[in-house]
Amino acid sequence: MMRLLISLLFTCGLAAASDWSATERAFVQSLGPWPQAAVADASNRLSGDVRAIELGRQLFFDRRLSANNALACADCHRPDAQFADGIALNRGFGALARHTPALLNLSQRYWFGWGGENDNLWAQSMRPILTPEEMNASLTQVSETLRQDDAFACRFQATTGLALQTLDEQTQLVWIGKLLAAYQETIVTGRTAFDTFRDQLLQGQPLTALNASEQAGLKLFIGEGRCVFCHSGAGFSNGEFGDIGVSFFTASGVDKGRYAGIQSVTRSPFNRLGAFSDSIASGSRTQHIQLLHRNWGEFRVPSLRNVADTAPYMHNGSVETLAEVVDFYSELDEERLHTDGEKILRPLHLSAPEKQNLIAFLQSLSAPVSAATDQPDLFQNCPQAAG
Amino acid sequence: MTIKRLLLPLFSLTLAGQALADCQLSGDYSGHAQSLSVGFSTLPAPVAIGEAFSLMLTACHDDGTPFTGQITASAVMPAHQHGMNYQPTVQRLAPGHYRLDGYLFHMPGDWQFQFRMASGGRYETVTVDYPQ
Amino acid sequence: MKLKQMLAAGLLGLSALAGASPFMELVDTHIHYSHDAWERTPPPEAIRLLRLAGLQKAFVSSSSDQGTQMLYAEAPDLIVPVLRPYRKRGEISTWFRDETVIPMLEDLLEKNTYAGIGEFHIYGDDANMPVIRRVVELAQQYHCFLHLHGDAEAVENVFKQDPNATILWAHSGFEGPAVVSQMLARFPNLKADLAFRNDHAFQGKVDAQWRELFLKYPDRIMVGTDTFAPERWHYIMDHADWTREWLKDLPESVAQKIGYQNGLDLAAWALNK
Repeated sequence: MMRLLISLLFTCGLAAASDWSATERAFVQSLGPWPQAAVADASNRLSGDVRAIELGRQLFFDRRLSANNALACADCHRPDAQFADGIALNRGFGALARHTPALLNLSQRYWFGWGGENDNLWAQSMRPILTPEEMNASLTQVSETLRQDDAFACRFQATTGLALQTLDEQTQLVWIGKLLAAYQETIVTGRTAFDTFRDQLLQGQPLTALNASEQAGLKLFIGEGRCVFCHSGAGFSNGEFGDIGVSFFTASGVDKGRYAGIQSVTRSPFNRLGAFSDSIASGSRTQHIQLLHRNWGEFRVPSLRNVADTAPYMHNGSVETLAEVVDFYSELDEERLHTDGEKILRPLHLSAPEKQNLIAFLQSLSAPVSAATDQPDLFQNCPQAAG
Repeated sequence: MTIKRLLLPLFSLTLAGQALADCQLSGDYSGHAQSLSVGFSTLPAPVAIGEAFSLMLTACHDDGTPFTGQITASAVMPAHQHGMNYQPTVQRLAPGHYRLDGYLFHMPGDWQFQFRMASGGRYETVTVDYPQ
Repeated sequence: MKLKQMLAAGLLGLSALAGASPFMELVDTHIHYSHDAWERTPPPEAIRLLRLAGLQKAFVSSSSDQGTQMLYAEAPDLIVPVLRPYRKRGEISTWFRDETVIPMLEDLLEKNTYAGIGEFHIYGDDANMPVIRRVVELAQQYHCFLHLHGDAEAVENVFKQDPNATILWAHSGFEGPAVVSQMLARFPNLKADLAFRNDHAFQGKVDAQWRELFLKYPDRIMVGTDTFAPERWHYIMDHADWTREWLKDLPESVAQKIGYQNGLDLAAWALNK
């Protein structure tokens, strides 16, 4: 009843700063500031380099990185669709079992892939190129294609200081991954209505940036909804993994999620602790990761920035709309979850106004997306790129 | 001797009532088990949710000698009955002085540090609450 | 190495012959096959997964018991039936207040063969309520062990009711090795499974304090997966692999007892009515 009263109160009129408790203020503060200061990826010495960003941008749109020159990264990570594809499960050269994630604000992340199969963006960028169901290329094909491209070889040398021809195929692919990563790190979301509200609250200004419904949704998000337990920090994700009871059966069995992800990343020669990393010291998390029974069927906690624009949802794209996501949490099947103590996840049993408020708040997390653009003057001493 | 070992006493803070003959506890937090005590600080301080951190820890037996045994470290959220996703590693810098790396709190709320101290075939567990 | 073990190892693609330790066929003492599991993984497929994991025996309890009966009919050599007092999974926190559970259990115990009653959830003083008291009596009457998921206090309360009861303490109560060791010392008929626990081993190495416990009570510890959600049936094989990895860090005779012999002995005791 108290929750309903609070909900109605907020729906009827804007809350004042005094309506926010110290705990609520602390939680709101923890969800910013935005934008975050750019931090270069220590494991990739090309991170933040302007030439690498431009060459990576060109590769991102280059279909020669796939079999039959059929697909570029940008065909599934579409710039006009939040660098995602907007469909539940896409097809590359075969059917995929996981939903294409939006490539937003990646420089803030440590684990990549729904199961955290990689601990860095460059290794994650290499993966789809060679995956048969995705771009289905081979090391040799990629190597030969790029070696025959004088313009690329020249730009590659200008960027990395290395002669492409002197590198083995695997090393070439690592550098391609690092170039792609440098570009993807530039894809960021802007300031949102929530970010302005946060500043207003912390600075004691009138709380005009969010309307009453959005503020009520925020209170639910950081309060009884407990969403902030996992969707924490400026990126609205704790960067880790969870099992919220979404089925992880696939057509051929199960998607082991984080369990297989940990096994994969710890064995990968392309992790932060390996020979291709430019900073082994940056791999502390990888060094200390534990393989736990609960990792089975856990998937990455996604960022909620621009969440209203990145439907469908969940690791398998099984939930079509934001309203259905809220319904999912409202009627959560907690029998699927194994927990002995206080339950973090529990059915919220939200009223219709509460659901509307929560959705309104989540919609306030949207902002335009920006990314590095064409820099035609950067490689003036190299031949013109093909195409 | 490493630079860290030389620097350690510089930021040590003696805890009230814990001054021991040959072994001084230091740090912002402390805990006690049957026959020993620990003191420690987090690096950085305070801990940020979702960010890796380390501990600088001192450990003393109640008889005033430095603890020199094995430490197994973990941290849990008692209310949720779950631990961390990471297993810290423990490095002994000097008798009674340890560095613990690999911590990460992935959720806001009350955490509890747990140190299982093994020495001479005896186990004692020190727990220290870390409210947020 | 027995031919059967070699074949099992070969089927799983494990390099048993090259390794220092032979492939060990385990006994998994903590399996559930509830309604949503059998809908997705029918009995023949479920049995295939258990055999693929290299199990000699699987202790199975289900919500409802129909799941256990289906599996037992499919592979009586493999399945050790355990009677769960839940009709569906949602009764974890209500079953012990529901007196209609008793006639259901009495009827099933009379009709079918069971090695144990459980896994059921019970904590503290709730273990003294009439329904659980009757369950303890039924376990004695039908020579069954009790697969109890609960705290040390609940275990103590059950032993007060029947000091001769045999309890398999699910998840070892999620207690640390010091408490588990104390409980094993106090109650000779207490056994403990390690289902859904990781703290006893990290990267194939057994924790020092747990090792002491395993060496002190090698006849009392068992392993189990806990298939609490239907997808977890596919975890049984990975869990078995994970288990074999840390068992290799123990003396072979201790590893064999924990890995399978204790489970075989408990099943033999319980089914030899």
